Amino acid sequence: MEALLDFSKHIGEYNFPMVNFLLQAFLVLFVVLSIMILIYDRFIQRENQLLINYPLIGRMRYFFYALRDPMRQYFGDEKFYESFDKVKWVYDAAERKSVYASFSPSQPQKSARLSIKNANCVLNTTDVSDDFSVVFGENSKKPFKTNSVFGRSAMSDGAISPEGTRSFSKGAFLGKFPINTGEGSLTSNFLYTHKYCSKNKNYMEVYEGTFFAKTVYRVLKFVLNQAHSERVYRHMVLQRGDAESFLFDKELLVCYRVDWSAPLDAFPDEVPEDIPDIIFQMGSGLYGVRHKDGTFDEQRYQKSMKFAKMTEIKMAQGAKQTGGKLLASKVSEAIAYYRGVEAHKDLFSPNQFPFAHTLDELFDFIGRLKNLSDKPVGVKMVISSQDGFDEYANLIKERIDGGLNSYPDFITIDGGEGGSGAAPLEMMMTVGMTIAKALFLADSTLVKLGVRDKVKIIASEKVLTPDDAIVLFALGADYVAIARAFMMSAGCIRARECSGAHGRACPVGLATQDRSKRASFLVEKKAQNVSSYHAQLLSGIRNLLAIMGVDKLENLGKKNLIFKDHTGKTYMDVDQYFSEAIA
Amino acid sequence: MNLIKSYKEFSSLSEYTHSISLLLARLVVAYGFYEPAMMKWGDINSVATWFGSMGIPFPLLNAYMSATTEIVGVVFLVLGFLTRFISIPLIVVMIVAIVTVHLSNGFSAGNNGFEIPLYYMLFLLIFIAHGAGKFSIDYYLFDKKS
Repeated sequence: MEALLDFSKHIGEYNFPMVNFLLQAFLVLFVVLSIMILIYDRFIQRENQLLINYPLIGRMRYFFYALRDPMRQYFGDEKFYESFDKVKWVYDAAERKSVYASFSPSQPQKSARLSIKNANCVLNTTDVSDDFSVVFGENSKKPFKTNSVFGRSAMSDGAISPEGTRSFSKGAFLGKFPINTGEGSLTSNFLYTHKYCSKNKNYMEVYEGTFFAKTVYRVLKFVLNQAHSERVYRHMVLQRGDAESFLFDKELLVCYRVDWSAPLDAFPDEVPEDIPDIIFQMGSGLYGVRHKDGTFDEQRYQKSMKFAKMTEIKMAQGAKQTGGKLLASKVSEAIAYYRGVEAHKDLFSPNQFPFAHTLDELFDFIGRLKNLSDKPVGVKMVISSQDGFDEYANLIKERIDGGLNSYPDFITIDGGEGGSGAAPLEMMMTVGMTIAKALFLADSTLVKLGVRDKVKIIASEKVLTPDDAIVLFALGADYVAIARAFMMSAGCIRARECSGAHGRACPVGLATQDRSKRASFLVEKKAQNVSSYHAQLLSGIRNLLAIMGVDKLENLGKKNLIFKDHTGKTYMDVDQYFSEAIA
Repeated sequence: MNLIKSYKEFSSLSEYTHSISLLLARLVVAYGFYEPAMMKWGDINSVATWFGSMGIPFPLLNAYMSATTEIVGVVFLVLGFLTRFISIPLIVVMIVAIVTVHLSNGFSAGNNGFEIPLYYMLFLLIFIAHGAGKFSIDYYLFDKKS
């Protein structure tokens, strides 16, 4: 004890004059700077009215303003979704926590909504088939049979960080569900689980470090961790701007990526087994499948399709009926390499798809892609009117009746309320029908023309929980694509900084190319979460089918739905409701 | 070929020391200026008298100017704030010190020669050339966005 007292006395006798001085100096500097800013705000600048009246203090407003979006889910009122409980369900499902809720949802559900009929005598969950497969393009040479009715919706690598895309890709591989590339092309990160080996070296571009680099890697891995040592190894071995576009093999210690300049016959005939089911999306920019001058590159498309199961042509999406918008801050050198464009410049795809000045031209192009890939091809669209969709449907019937294959094997319908990382606000909520109505319209039109069995329907719009999805399946969707809930399962806190505008970046490193934000992204852990969310979603669907007394998802139909409008009037026959609602 | 590749790898590995070495150098140089600066502020008049005895014009004004440069230099170097800018007057202070005090004693540090102030000057020159590194206010103000 005495020794301790002695020791503390000893410590007390030390003084650090320089530290004291520096503390004082910082204080002085702070005060001086504050006064300078105050004088500037009050007497010099004439840009900002608020700061003239409230110099210095007024700056707090901008600070809180910046915090508003990232913090809204903690303090703000959550009105964007009908219920915060749904948001929490997604987070809990992703983290493998119990998804049971207590009491009632904290905010009431929408007053007008579709809901389901329960059976008098319900089934046990195990009585419901766990086969959730869907077959796209039954007539094509290589049809695509999924293992799930859910998949990750289109989000391009570039909009999402490389680490984010890797975790989605790994999660899709673990959870056995399809993943859509988005229009940013099929990048290395979608092939994250694809191992480098002697069999595939013909189409790989490889960099291997020397003994020195490998030793440094092993030492650092022992002292620190794998992530840090990988970063150092990459820095040593890949001295190039687009270094991020390389994958890293932890066992062989090589950096590799697909060499798109390799000849077509070097690529595998069958899609490699160690990658998830990839849906290749082609947008108006033709990223990843274009020549330097921007025209369509057939060979490159065929090479890309060696890794993908089917193609989706993006004509429009719910949040924007234009091409993709990637701000300069997100066009890194790796992204520029993938897409064949210039780095660090705003990348706005044209509004118009280059092969779709008319629907006839679009359908011809679909036929061309089908012949090139032997795989199903579909179209993503937003439906705004019966007339608009009739054009599609009639043309599909015409082509099928004519014995042609130039029609879409599936259509992806994006609801008008769908979201996006970067879209003009004026298009976000105003354009397009909501998904339930659009789905009803598309399904009944295709059934009426007798071509429904040839064309599968993919639906998407703000699906978070199984109850959101089940009504879409009942209305005729064969498959549901989900973006935001998968984002949340990968750690998104809905800070609404995805676009990278205003100089701010996604705080969790998921939707940004900012290296410092991304550096901490836990790829493997998030991949588990992504896969868990998907598993929980399927299990929820199975539970719901059981209480409806439906033993197979395909036996679900509009008969299982009811609709209650905001006055409380309930429609037992939803067809009647929709025919009244879509006038 | 392999040796060249290894050396290239070693070179890029060495880049990791860039910012930390600049930080350490800044702190040490700041400390080097701290003691003479405090001494000057402790008794500015005797400094002025000493300056006058060495034939420096406007001794009191110059005493204040060099003392101010040094003390501001200490703070700015530690913070890494306007590092390249503050290094220039500090080099001037060092040149004056070498010319008026150390030059006549030769090079050796043991003899109070110009060896040590020369090293300070070179450090300051390196700050001008390389900036303050990542661990600095400059980095957040000027470098990060671009």
